[in-house]
Amino acid sequence: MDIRTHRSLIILFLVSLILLFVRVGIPETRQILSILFFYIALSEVFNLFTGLTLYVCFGYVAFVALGMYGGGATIKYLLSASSPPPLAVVLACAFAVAGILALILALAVGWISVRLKGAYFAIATIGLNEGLKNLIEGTGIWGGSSGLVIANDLIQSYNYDTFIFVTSELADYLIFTVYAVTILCIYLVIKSRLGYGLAALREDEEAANVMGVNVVRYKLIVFVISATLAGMLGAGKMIKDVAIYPPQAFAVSYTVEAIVISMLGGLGTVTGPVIGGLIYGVLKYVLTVSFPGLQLLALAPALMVMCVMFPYGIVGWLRRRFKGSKIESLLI
Amino acid sequence: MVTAEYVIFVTIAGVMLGTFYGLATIGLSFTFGILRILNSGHGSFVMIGAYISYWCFALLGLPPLVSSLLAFAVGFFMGFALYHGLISRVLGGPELISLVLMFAFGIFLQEVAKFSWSASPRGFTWGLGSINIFGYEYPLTRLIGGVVSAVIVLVLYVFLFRTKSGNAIRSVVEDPEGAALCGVNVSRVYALSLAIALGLTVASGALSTLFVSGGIEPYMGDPYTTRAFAIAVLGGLTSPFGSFLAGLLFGIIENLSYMLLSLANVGNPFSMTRFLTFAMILLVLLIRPQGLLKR
Repeated sequence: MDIRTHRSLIILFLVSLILLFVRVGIPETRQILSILFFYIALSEVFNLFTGLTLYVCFGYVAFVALGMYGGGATIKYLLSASSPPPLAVVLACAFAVAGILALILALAVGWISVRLKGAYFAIATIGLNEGLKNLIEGTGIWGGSSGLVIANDLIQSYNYDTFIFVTSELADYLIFTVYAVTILCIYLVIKSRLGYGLAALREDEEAANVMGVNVVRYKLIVFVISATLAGMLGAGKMIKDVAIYPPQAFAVSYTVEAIVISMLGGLGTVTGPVIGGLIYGVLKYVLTVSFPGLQLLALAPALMVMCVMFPYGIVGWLRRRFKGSKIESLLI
Repeated sequence: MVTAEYVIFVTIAGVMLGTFYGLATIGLSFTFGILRILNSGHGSFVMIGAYISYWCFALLGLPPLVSSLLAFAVGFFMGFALYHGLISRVLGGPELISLVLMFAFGIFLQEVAKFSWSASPRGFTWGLGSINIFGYEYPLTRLIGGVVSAVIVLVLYVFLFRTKSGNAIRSVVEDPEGAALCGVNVSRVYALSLAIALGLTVASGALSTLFVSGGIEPYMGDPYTTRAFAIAVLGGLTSPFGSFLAGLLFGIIENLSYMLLSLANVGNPFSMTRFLTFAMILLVLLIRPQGLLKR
């Protein structure tokens, strides 16, 4: 295998690793970099489906929230035993359950919705968030509207130092791992037969279908992959936050942020969300510090301007600017 | 104990609520049918209407019937501004762009409302008393809300089928290119349609205060978005009057299912009804994506 064919991916991983080392080495950057990794991962996950198919799923946060709930409930259940299993086992189970729950939900919703086209798909998924939130509040599962808190379970089963280590250090590395896996996934999808099929689908779905691309199956595959990763990202966030409440967990701002970052960087690209996420993460950090609670007020008009003026994002613009040169081949 | 009278009472209440839902959804299918744009920020326009109604009542003492006219005017103006400012630039482009654009605009309205009027819920009561239906008290304001909604839809019907502008709009729905060849100013029709659609939606928001007297807050629109999508899908998405009928059906279903859920005592009936709305969207899209009411 020629390593040069994958140099863009390698560069991306090197940049990510440098950021990770910065986070380890300089404690002051911890907060901002952990926010960054979460948002880039969220946008990559969103991009994996919406960027590659150009179908908008407005219900993404539901998968993240389900992952948070699934992971949290698993941890709570395992730690309620008289002799709690080792931490690594608990965390591994949390990730597995979160991923599986998101996968099942994605299969159920996707099986119906990927058969639909364009706006109909958006309709099928826009209620996903509200629906799941109301199901949890209505039936009272997982603590219902009073939320699910696992902080005490962790402190009692292990000890306070472990708790601090898990929530403030380990959780960030877990989120980073999900981030790295997501980047690898979207890269592999783009370079695979699936990716070429999706490219054909983006251009002309009817034509792709006639040419033998099984559009429904292809859409379902990427929908399920991205939802599963979103669920695992949720598990990582749960371990970091150690608590979840329905109003925050299902906040629409996550969906908006994922769309903003993907579109700012470039939909359907691997590098886009990383570039968009870096810019956005820094902006958000500055905005939250100086104008707490107002980031959506600034974000929504910014998104509107982007839709009208730069629908292809930074990577799309760079690709056109450096068409045919070496730089273009690096911008996957 | 459920008596026959109670079921009839709940159904009548459902019909009143349903005509209002129909009005609240017509704007959505109007926009989709004519401009081929899905208003993913639909609920936020309902929210703006509710605030207009609240402020007119709190500051000027105007009842929601009067403020719904003002609300229509505000929505109408917003529609024109939105069309010429943003929508006309993305028309004909990828569907994703217009979806995200409307979604972002909805969020923007929510945040402006939150910034100007805080996130705390407000409410007011326009006390008119109630009438007695089979021994059950039904607030008179809701009856008025239902009747007024039906009248507004009737006016829309007359406008679309009896006036020149209405004919122009219907010709664009049939065939935009053909209409343009026959001298219809398609761009003007688009702007007018979006203005009417948003006017109706904002007006329905003003009337919503007749049904729910409290809970006016920036994010109150989200359940309306889900509900309007469910209703529009039920009615076939592109047909305004299909949406109205679907809204009527939906109001009855919602009221009856709320009654049954309260009786069955499975969890919180309020949240469960909202969950069922979402389940219904998926179910209808699975069985008949072209809409239940379309031939």
